[in-house]
Parts: sequence; C-alpha cells; structure tokens
Amino acid sequence: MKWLLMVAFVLGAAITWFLTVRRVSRTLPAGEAAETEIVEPEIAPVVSPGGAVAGGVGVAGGADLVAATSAGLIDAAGDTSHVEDPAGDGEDAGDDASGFGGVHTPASESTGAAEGWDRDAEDEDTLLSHAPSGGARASIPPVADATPSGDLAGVGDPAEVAAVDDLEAETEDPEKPDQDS
Amino acid sequence: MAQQAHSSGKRVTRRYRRGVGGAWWASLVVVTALLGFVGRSDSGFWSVFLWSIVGFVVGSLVSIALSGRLVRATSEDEAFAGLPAGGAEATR
Repeated sequence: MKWLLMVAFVLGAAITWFLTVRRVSRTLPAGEAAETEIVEPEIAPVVSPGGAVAGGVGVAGGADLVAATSAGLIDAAGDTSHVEDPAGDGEDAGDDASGFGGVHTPASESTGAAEGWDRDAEDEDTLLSHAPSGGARASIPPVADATPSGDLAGVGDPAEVAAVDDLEAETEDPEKPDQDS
Repeated sequence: MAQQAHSSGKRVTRRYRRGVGGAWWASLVVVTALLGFVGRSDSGFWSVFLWSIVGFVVGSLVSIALSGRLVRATSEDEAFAGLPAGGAEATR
C-alpha cells in the first residue's frame, strides 16, 4: 500500500502545481522590446535600514514600485534627487527639509532639562528672563523667610508682609485716587 | 519567477500563482477513488482510499509551499510589472 500512498503524494503535488501555477506569455511590441531592458524583479525584497525598498514584489505596493523603477522615476537605490520637478517652482530645498519631521525650529533644537522629557515644554527660566523688568514684581524686595518658590503666605514677619502688600498695592494702582480723600 | 525571453525579444513568458479551486477538490475525489479501486485487493478500498487522501493532501501542501517560494507573483499584472503593455496570451 506504500506505493499507492506515494502515488497519491506525487499526484497531489503535480495536480496542485498545475492548478495553482499559471504561465502566461506576452508579446511585446517590436520597437519597445528592442529598447526595453527586461528587468527581473528580485525574488526577495531587499530592505536595509534607512534605505529604500528595491524590487519589492510580493509586498504591498511592490508592483507600483517596480513599475516606477522601470519607468525611471526612481532608481533601485531610491535616489530621487535627479527627478525633475514637474511644477518647476524650484522649492526643492524646502521640500527636502520638511520631508520628515519638519523644519528644525529653535524651540525644537533646544535641549534643556525641561525638554528632556517633553519636547513641547518651554524653559520657565527663559520665559522669566524675558519678562519686563519694570513691573511690580521687580520692585518687591526679597524676603529672607520666603519659601524657595517665593510664596510669602504664612512666612516671615507679618510687618514685612504687610509692607510688601502695601507696596504692591501702590505699584499696581499708582494713579488711583485715595479712597479716603 | 521564471521567464523566458526569446531570442527575438518579443515574447516573454512568466508565471503567477492562483488559488486552488473546485478542480482541486474534483481531482482529490477522482484520484483517491481510483487509487482505492486499484488497491482494493491489497488492503481494502476504504483503507487505500483514506490513506490516498492523506498522501494527496500532503503532496498538495508541499506543492503549494514550493510554488509560494518559487513564484512570487500572484496576478498577471504583477508578473509583468516593469514591462511595457503587450498582448497577453495564456499558455495554460
């Protein structure tokens, strides 16, 4: 019975091959056939880190990639620098910079401590240094007993706190007429 | 992906894969029934018939694996990707 099993195996393989694999021929135009170099796509897609996919038949969009490659739009290495700009507006430099990740801005280039964990964060010390120097806060004398954050509530001598409050009130409303007069 | 570029350079033959259809099931029934009929005097019709099904299916799986390895294209357009459009002529 073993030979029958072998026969079944061979027949199954052969019949399946003939049913699933189909051969098709195409007759190319004589002029184009002479000018066209028949490029056999790679069996396995060649993918390298940072490189373009060449001959990616079998992957999504592989046929389009091969067609674009053979048409001369891109070459096998994925270099599109030689492709002419169809619009002709000459904005290649800007387009290259914004191709991925966008143009580098001063905010994104800063590497402060706050930006170490959040790219969108802004350095508070830098913002405070740009504050107007003539404001009310600049005229407030430092209090020795203030907390490190500068909070005066419940800290320090009550008389000093009252003096600071009076000074703030005068600075914020210098032209406000006195309520008593 | 096999191709045959003839010396004239005008005719290109390539292969692509298709799914198994109803013809495969019909072949399975016919082949295993025939083998069971042939080997009925050896160990009985049903024993040979059932073992033939096993052999046929295993052979089919091997063939599918080979075709998937050797023939990458899954359609005619994909098989002729990179070539200018021309008259198609199925050979099988």
